[in-house]
Amino acid sequence: MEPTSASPTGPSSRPLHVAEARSNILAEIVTIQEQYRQHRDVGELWQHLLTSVLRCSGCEVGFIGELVWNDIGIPNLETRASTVPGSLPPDLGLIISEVIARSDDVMVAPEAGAGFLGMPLVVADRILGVVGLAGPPYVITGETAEMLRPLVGVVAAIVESITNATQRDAVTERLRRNLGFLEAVVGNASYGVIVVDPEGTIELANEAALALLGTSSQALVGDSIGGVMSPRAVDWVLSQIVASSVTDPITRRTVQMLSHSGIPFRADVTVGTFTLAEDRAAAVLTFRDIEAELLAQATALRSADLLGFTPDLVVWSDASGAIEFINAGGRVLTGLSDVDGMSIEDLFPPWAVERFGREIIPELGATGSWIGEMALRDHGGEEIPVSMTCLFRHEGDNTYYALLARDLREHQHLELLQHAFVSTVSHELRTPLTGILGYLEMFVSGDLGEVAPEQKLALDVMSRNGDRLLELVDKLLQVASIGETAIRDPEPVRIASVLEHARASWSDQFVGSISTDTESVSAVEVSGSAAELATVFSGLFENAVKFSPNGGDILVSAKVVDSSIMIEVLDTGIGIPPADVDRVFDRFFRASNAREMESQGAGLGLAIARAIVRKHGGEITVTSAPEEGTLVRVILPLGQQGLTYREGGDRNGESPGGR
Amino acid sequence: MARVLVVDDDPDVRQLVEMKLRLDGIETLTATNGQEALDVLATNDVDLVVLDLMMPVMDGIETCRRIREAEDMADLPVIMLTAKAQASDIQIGFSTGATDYVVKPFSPRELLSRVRGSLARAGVR
Repeated sequence: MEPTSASPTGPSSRPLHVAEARSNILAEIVTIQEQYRQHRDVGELWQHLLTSVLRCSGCEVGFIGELVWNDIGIPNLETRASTVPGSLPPDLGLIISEVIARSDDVMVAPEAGAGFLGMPLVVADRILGVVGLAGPPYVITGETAEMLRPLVGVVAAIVESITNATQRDAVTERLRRNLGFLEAVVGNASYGVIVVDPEGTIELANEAALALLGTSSQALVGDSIGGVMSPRAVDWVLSQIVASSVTDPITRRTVQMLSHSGIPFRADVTVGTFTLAEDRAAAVLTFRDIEAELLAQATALRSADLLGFTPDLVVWSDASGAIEFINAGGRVLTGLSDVDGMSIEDLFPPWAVERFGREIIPELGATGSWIGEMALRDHGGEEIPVSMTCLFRHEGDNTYYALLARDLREHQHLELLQHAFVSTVSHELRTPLTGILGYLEMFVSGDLGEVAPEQKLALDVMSRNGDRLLELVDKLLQVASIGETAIRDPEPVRIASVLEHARASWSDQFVGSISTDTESVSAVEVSGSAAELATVFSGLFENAVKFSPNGGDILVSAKVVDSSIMIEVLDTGIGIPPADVDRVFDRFFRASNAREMESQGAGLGLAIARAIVRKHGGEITVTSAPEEGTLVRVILPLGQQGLTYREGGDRNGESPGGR
Repeated sequence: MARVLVVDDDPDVRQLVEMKLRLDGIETLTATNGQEALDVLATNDVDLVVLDLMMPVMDGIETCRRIREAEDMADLPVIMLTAKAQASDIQIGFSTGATDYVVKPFSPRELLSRVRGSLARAGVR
């Protein structure tokens, strides 16, 4: 039968013949399907659907509503097309609720007044919406629902399509936005992201992954993940894809990975799974290179470990001096167990705090470090002499003070013991020498009777050797003091007079001449020990005299250079062979030509001289040419600079005032 | 004749000094430590004391102090004779009132000349 075009509803409805109605419905069905195929606007489509239903039913009033579920599962009927402006009449509303509740037709056909019919739009037992109609009783009859059912069925199918399409559009839009976000995240991530399929083939890799692995997209994508990690790691990754079989999936591990150039590196790897199309799962890995981190951790652990074993004190503080760390050795040394709230200054006795502020802080500001002797204070208030290094580091956030200190008490004690020992020993040696040399002198001078020539010869030899012994005993004391680093009780010493004295002692014993030019330094003073400085120059004169057996001139000059005094002793003697020049300061070393000369000497003079000069903050150098002579130069700082002296009290243990 | 008290715990040193002084005509008395020395001084007239520093019972420093404190001996010449040769020791020696300081081992000739010198200054022949 040919479908007739839709006939418009008349101003008055009339009952339809069943056949006519049926053909109308078929025509309508075809019509709305066509409209659905061609529609551009969903809103218009709803209108068409309603119009069709009204036409077929002969009603003039009706509506179509779609059932929309909100987030908590409560359905709400939303009107999509309606002939009734505004909200539905309450009676119709009640019927609609009934329809939804029963998911079935509901009809009310009173004897007078309008009748109502509500029919659910159902697809596969799911109610998608409701069609509601109102009309005179002869229009809304018991057969109306049955008659409309095919049309309503098609309408329901079309409604489902609309809903699905709308939802699909919404999902697509959401997906598109999410995808954009993900692409941004993954693309810009600093860690590598790789997607592998269940066989382990790499399907995707982000920029960071390519960079970390040192490869290109073409090289990596399509390759097996086994190319960048060990088989065991690959197993772990792939096993996550079948995670349903794993009860406690380990999703994060440290894994050894391999870069394209063959360099292994340890990485922090996480594995997640997601579903590809067709229910195939895939794994997404993130990884980052932790080699540097692990190394830093290991180094920190090692450092902390080592710090725990040194007996020296190691302390650091923040820029304000508040202590942040003290090592085990430091705790033992100071007896402190808790340093909370303490500052670096709390570690010092009062006079040292003053010195810290006055002398050490400025040095730290200028050079970043200070090394010297200081004192700490233990928890009982007792002073601990220490050799201390102080540091200040200023690197932005990393700004701190650090203290390293070594207990000097044992060293000082040993020094004292040694000094006492040497003192005692030299004293003990002098006593028997007194008996020997004293009587020898009386013998030689005839006090004990006439002396025969042979006897005199023997006595002379004995005397000479006795004198040598005495000299050695003197030197013994000096050599022992070489180890000392500080001068006790320094005093001002006039170099000019020291030189004069030495000259006076030695010129009698020299066949040549010794001349000193000290006019320009007659008033110049250095700080230190007069006796020790006398030893230095006496020793230098002795060498000059001893090694100039043919006389000649010994020239001694002194002058001020910058903030030091420079003294030169120049002889024209046998000199020092080039091979020996560097060793002349070694203890007991005697140059080859000195030994050839059969001159006496223990080889200690220059060793002693250098120790003393350095103790005074100065330096001594030797230049020489064999057969021509030797120049010894001594430089000493003027005033009190360059001097190492002990703070913290004199030998009686009293605290000093000031320095 | 001048009389000199020689105080030293070492018999060899005592004998050496005694011999040299006697050869030059000086009478000698001896003591082995500071306490003995004071005892001798209490009962004998002495013109000069040669005093060792390191002795048991009472050492030279203490002895010298006591001598100086005694009214009748305040001007008694005291020559310290000792192996302690450091500047600080010498300083201490003089500060306690020693007249002179000779370091061991010494030249007997030198010691004699110092003794004679001190005696002469004290007006003793």
